[in-house]
Amino acid sequence: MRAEGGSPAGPPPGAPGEFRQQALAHLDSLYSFALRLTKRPPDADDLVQETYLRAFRFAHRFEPGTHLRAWLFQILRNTFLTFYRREAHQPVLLDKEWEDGPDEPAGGPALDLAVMTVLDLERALTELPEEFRSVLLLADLEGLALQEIGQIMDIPIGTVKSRLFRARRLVRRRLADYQHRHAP
Amino acid sequence: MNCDGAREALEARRRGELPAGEARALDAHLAGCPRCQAGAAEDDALARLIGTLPRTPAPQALRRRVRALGIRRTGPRAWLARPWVAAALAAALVAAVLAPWVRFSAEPPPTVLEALIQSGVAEHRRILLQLEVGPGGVDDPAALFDRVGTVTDVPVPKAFAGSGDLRLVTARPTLLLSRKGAAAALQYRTSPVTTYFVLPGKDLPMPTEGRVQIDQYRPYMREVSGFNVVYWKQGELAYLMVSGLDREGCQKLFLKMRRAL
Repeated sequence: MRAEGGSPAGPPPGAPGEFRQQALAHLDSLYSFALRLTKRPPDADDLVQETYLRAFRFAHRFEPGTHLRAWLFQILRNTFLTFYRREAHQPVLLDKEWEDGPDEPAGGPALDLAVMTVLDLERALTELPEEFRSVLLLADLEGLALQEIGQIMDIPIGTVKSRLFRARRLVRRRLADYQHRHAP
Repeated sequence: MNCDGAREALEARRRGELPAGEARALDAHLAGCPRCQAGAAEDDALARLIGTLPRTPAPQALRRRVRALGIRRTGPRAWLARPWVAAALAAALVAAVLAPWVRFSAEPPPTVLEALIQSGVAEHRRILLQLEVGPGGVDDPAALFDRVGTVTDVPVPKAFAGSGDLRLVTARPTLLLSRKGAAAALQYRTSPVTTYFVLPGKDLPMPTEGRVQIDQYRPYMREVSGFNVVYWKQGELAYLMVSGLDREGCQKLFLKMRRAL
């Protein structure tokens, strides 16, 4: 299965009815993901529309029997990186927090997830670099398989697992910070 | 199984992808490693919490537009569905309607500038699309600028060839507001591409609102569809700059180019 990769488009396949219907069934999931990527409804609109345009145009590249949902997410993310993510090709300024560091010492203050609000979690996710935000959303919110996530993000499964682990650790740290700040 | 292996195995188990043999090894490790055990419990809870985040359904207008895309069969129609192509066509239409007025009015309306900007953004996105096909690069900028200048009757500034870390990626003739001009896409190191346009601008307006002070210059600047756009005039020429850089980076590149012109 190959996602649209920027080669010149031949005549569009016209997205045969069945393919189109199956693809449209994922519209809400794609929009929800796009909104969390772009953080702006107008950009999410454009991103999703462009995703479907590319999906229909390159429908002949989709291999029946493989995962259409993952293919659509892959197109959406690639399009986002190309057109919407300004920092995509800028040198990454790695905050120390984003680097691998030692684990929290055992016995440290436990994170009380029960008191966390959705707003705190949304905020923590928003503050993550895209690579970590996407992997968490695809895994935990969209429930995609590790192999599918690897395909969408173009990374090996081992990297998916390690990125998930690091992403969870980063979110937990953020949430612990908020919790600490809100503590009386 | 060590702690690193346990972390990976835990991710697989959360997705129901852990083979039975590895599951037993994982459980054995967790039983003897309080830190992994605690971390696993917190990560399980976090994963569940993320799974409960609200989803925003697609707006009805988007739903209608996407459904309409699926039944468009031919290339031109599909191209028309692209937002920036539609914007460019709309801009061209506006320009065509306004063309006589633009030519003869002493104070053309702000709509003309809006159409110019939308048209420039659309062209910038087409260039980005083209760069998806190939990396770009110009061996002989002077020769290319000569050819573009011949086609457009607009001399392409030498500054558009870039210098130092600012590299020319591609240049071509273009149509903005139904008038011929030149477009040059440049890239600063590995930053997002910036496209500079130059076109005849004697009759184009220079707005009083929306201008920013950058060093001694006061160009018009705003954000359009996620891009930063800068517009200014020099003599009888108008310049437009569309960039994927953030505001600060865009202003720096404006200054670099403005000083070189």
